Amino acid sequence: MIIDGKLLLPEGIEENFRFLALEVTKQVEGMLAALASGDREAITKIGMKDDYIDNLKAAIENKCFNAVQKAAGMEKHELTMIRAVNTVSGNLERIADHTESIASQMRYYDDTRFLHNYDYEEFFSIILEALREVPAALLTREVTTALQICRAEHHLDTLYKKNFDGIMGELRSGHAPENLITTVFVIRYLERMGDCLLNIGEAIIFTAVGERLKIHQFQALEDNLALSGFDLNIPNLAFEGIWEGKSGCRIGHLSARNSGTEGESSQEVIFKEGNSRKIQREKKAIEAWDKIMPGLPPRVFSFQNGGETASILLEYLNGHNLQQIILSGDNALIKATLDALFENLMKIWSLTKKDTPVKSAYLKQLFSRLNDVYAVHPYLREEPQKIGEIETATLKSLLVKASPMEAELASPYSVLIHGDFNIDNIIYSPAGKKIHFIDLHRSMDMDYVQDVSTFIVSNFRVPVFESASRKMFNSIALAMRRFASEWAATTGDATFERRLAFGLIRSFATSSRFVFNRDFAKVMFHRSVYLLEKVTEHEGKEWDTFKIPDEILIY
Amino acid sequence: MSDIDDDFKHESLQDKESIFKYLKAVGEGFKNGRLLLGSRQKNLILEPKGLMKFEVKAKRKGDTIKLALRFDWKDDGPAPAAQGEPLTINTDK
Repeated sequence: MIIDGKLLLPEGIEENFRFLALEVTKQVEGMLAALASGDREAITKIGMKDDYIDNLKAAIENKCFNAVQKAAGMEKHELTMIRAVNTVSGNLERIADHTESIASQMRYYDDTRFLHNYDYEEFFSIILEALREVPAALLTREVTTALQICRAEHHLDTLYKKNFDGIMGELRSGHAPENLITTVFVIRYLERMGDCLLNIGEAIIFTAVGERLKIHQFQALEDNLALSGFDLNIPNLAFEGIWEGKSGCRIGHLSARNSGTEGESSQEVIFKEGNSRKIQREKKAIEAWDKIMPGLPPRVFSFQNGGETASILLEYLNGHNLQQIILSGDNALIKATLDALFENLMKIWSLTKKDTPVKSAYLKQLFSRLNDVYAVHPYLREEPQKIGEIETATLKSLLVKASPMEAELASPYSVLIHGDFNIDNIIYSPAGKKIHFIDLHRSMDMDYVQDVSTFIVSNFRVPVFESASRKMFNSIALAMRRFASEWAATTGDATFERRLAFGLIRSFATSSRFVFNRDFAKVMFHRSVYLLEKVTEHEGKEWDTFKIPDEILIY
Repeated sequence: MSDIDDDFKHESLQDKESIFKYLKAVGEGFKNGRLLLGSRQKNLILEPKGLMKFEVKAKRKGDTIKLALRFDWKDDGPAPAAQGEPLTINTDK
């Protein structure tokens, strides 16, 4: 339940939590005072208060688990809040543990005032400043404060490094090693409190954003939003799912308020964060596509390169992807989408056609992914078998035979291809009757057959067996084949059919790793082997007579 | 534990021409009284002889058709590996 923007926690968790935060803060304050006084007795006393904190933490944990257990019907943000309260409590208790550990170090000092030679007060001041913010930040899901809490960790790390280096220098000169070593332990505990604060800050961000974002991902998001003129009021940001993409990027869909000159509006955006090379490649590809077909790729609102990782904020394209459209069963919409798709492909291929032959290496790609396929489906690893006089074909033996055949083949020209032309990377917005392409990071000038075969198999591999949808996937796969064959004929591409076979061989085998149904995976894998057999058997014969049977493309 | 002494399994996608090749290979095996089914690890040699039960099953379910040919026979084949010492009765006293 939310009242005045505040979430009400069940079972008196809030009260326990406030006490815990207060108690831990008091303990850290007490330790600072005791250390300043140098009074051993006071220090020891502070270190002994821990039981109460432990009990509070245990009570909160129990209540959180109870609440979750009874959670039927609980809303996602309530559950998120409970998870966060539990995480924050655990980390608060750890801070108390570290305080206690500092107390236990005191007995190794000749004089506890030895610590006064170092920046312990600054450590404590950073920790306390963050600690005092925790209850309000969590209970009101205040992201700006959460970020400040996170940043305490970085300040503490820097301070630790400075003090540590100083101590090392002194150790080398041989002064009071016992006291110096003890001090290293003390500042190390203070530095570890910073790690707890970082966990606390990230847990609070989790409650606001509804997703687990690491601080650097969050900062990247924040920077991107700022760069593109979106309102930074993060609670107005709604994440509608963030997931690990197949390419290893974190992708989020969120809506943000845009306060521009034309008043406030809400804009949905896609946020991607991940491997710098991939993100940069995607940005470049989007720019290239936009030059040729303005509006076909999403707009780039902002881009941030942070060294190893980079992030990008993209326009969220309204509409549905082709897979969703097919599953909707809305025949008029499906037809409109396909018409628009083929029209666009014709345009793109014509505009970007370069008459330099290009070779694809489908079989090499297949070979490199074969182990991933076997990892998911070990029973597909075949050995040669004999049935009477016939030796059965295995994918591997056929690959060896077929590779030189593929090496001789080239597409007579290149076009700009998508590179990952799955049906869920094609978006259609009925309002503007527009096709959009997303996930363009593999785009390049290449053989168009690569996109054609990927597209066909991406229809095939959808694990939907209900008859109407399946028929639709089948007829779309065949429609693409027809479209591409006609294009090949008009452009004088004589080796299209063979290259398509190699493309399908690759896509059928490699896509089986995304299919978990064993029988269905076999169906796909066996198609790959079958096509390889047909191609290799055809060697030496007239290639004009080589034709991929339509049945291979449909299920 | 499985009580199957020997087994062989093959699964693939074929067309009617290649199926004909397989049927011919199996047919040759029956004709010669020796059909080899083998993999890298082991060969299963079947020696069809004598009387055998023959079963043909065909089924059409929607657009899916299944045809199963099945042959069952007894093998007097190689004697099972000696299990313990053969029983001997010593009549010498």
